[in-house]
Amino acid sequence: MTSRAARVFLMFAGPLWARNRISYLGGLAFMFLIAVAAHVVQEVAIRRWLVGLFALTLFGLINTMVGPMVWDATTPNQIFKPTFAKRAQTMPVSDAELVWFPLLLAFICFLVPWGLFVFSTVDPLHISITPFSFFHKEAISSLAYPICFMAAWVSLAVLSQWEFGFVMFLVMLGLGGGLFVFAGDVSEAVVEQFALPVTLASIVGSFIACTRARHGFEASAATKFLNKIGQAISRRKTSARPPFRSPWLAQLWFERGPYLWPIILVPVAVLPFLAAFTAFSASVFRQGDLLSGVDRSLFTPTMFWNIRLIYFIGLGPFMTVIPGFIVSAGGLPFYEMHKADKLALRNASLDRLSAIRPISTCRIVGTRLALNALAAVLVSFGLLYWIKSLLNVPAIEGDRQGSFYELFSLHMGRRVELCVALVILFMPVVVWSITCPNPLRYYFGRWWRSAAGFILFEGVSMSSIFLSYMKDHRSVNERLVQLLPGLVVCFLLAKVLLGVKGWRRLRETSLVSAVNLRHWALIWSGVAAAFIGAFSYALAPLTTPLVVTVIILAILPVNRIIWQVIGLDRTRHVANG
Amino acid sequence: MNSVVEFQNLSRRFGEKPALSDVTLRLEPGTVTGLIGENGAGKTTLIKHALGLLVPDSGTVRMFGLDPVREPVPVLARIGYMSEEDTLPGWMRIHQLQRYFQGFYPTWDQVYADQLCRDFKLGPNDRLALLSKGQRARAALMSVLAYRPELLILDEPSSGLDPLVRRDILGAVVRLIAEEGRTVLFSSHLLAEVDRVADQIAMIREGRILFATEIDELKDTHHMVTFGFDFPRAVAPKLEGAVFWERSSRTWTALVRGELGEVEGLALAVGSSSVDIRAASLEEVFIGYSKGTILSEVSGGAAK
Repeated sequence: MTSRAARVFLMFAGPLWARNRISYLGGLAFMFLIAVAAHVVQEVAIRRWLVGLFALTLFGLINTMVGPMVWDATTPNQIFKPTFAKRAQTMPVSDAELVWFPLLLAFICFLVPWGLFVFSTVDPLHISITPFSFFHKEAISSLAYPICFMAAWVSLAVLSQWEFGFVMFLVMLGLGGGLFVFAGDVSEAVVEQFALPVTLASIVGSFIACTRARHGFEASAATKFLNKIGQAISRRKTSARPPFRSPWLAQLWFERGPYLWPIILVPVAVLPFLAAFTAFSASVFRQGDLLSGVDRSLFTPTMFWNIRLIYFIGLGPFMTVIPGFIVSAGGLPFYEMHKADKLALRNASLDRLSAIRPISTCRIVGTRLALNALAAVLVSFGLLYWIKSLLNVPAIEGDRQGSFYELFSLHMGRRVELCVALVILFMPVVVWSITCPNPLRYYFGRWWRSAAGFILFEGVSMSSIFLSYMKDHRSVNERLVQLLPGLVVCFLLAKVLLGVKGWRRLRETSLVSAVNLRHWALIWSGVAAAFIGAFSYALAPLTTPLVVTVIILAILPVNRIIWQVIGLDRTRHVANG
Repeated sequence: MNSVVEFQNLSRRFGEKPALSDVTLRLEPGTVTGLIGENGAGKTTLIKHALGLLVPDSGTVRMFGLDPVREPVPVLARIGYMSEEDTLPGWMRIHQLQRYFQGFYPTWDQVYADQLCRDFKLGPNDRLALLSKGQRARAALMSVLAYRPELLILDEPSSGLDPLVRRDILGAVVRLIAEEGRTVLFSSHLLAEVDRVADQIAMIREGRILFATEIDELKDTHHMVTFGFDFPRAVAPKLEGAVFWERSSRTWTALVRGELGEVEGLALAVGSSSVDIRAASLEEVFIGYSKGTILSEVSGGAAK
């Protein structure tokens, strides 16, 4: 990299590092732990899962690094307020640099974890897999066409966001996922011939779009058309909408209303993918193996239900569902917090406009919990149903049909892999519903204290769940299993202590009324029930893990509620720590 | 009658830096109080305490007799707050802004809101992000006036705005006072505005209230005294009640606190070749106290 390019890179990356360094360092530390675990565990299946987890973490990490650059820096007139964009627009860089640096990093963001995914699905019987053996020759060769296709996909998605906004970005991702599945049915050469021109065209288009936006050119005809539609809808609603009947509803609308569109548009984006997948599955069943020109080991019927396919299946919807879910569940506070917008109070997710409204802190927390819980439950059941329907497709071998669990067990052969697949699929739901917003961060303030609190209270609980599922598996170190009871006891004690401390604080501040408590209890018991239901479906015979899960999920939300109220109230009044 | 706003020995520090020190101030119903002070003097911090956005380190804050931190709902329901910061979300349209505010305030008057929108030339479908700074200020003003708050708090509302918008803001304040007798607390650097609408004034410096008094009383008790000398004089004359001295070749000008007769007597005793005494303008009082010594150090006690 030349010194000029290095300077430009630092100009982009510097503010991002300053703002997100904790996420980067935390993510790297987590990846290191996964790598160590992969060496400790001997079982190939678990190693593959760990590689998948490693890849997901890397994906998240790179997305965090690149995301603000791509989404904000290059969307000067789109849905998100261009906080960073103004800075980027006035940077002493050329229009081309303003395009290709974020674009390059966007490619890396998608391609590196994608490479890991592909590598992790290489036949485990022949290749020893560890998170450090990414550069195996066979793995690299298998990356050729996914790289080309992903490049085209990402380019188009970014381009569509530049011109049409985040909505189109989601739709493009969904379409890309669908096309990718179809791509498995055609030869590698065709994919490359298709991908290369599309990639080049997208980059050129991106450059034009960015230049237009940077220098204040008039909006494109398509954008004007969409704006007109939006204005027409808005005008029609002006007189139709009645006033809010309570402050609670007004606040609900303010925090989530403007961001509810992903709930509609995300399924729209996912639909093409699902349709393509179903069509592909049907073609395999009816016509046998049509995968000429493609690495057969990747799509042969015997491997069809392999865990790696779960990755394939999961990737497209994940890319579309996760942003949609974050937006709909996190809503305004999430974005205000991450944009460091002047509306947001420091280290808080409460904007000034809400802070001075006549609504109690309990009500604000209740509003947010209600939406988070609703979104969590919907997404949980949606994903569960989706997996179930996919795996209930008539069996490949013969005409055998069976339940989701039977089929999966038959083909997987290991119950543990099902757990692993489900955990991976449910991870974003669990993470976002529980940690968004993270009350420990509200309360502890400084990142290292909140990180320590998170590891202590949540890390221990998640480790307990993990070990309880794995304890009967031969690959898990017996010493680790012996730690399980101790871990669970420590977790429970810590949670109880935190709960008692929080409850005493609540009573001192008179923040909680009986009505609110009942309200929150109902919300969170619903969320806990959803997760327990999801886990128990797959793990019914495993009584001990289920009990552990129930205990953890039942206690965890209670503490969350208490500390969230305390944290938000403290934030609202900016008290001394 | 209960005070609308009451700060009692309020102190607040940010880290090592004191932001407010032993502030005591009361606002009676129906009064218009101008809060003046330099940047960083503590005006916004004081207002944030009134809104319950800050917890006092010591002392008490009572709004309508209630603690705004412990009981934000009944307190904030009676307050209209507008600041120099543009806190309105850009994605909202005017009709959405109205609907949002309407949900919180049962006293919201839609007819009045529509009238204000017409006066301010705000369309119901105008998106806030696309409005000019002045128009957004008008939208903010509309949103706080339409529910007819008992107490209107304006934190440098016209900072950076053009004269037309400033006139709108002041006009609205004047109407609110004239028609409904509401209480207003507003901070501003534009002393002409304060002079025009306020009937009492409080000055804050380095976190301390220097004085809080009626504006007419302030003018009656502060005078600019110019002493002429036949030769350049290096040291300021000794004059009881002088808050601030300014030297210009052979003259010394002082801001003096005291009744006119008293000041005249003291000035003549200085022994200068000429003495010119006139009433001090609000700006001169502000500059005098901003640059001069703390009043309590000069004349033996801070006013409440």
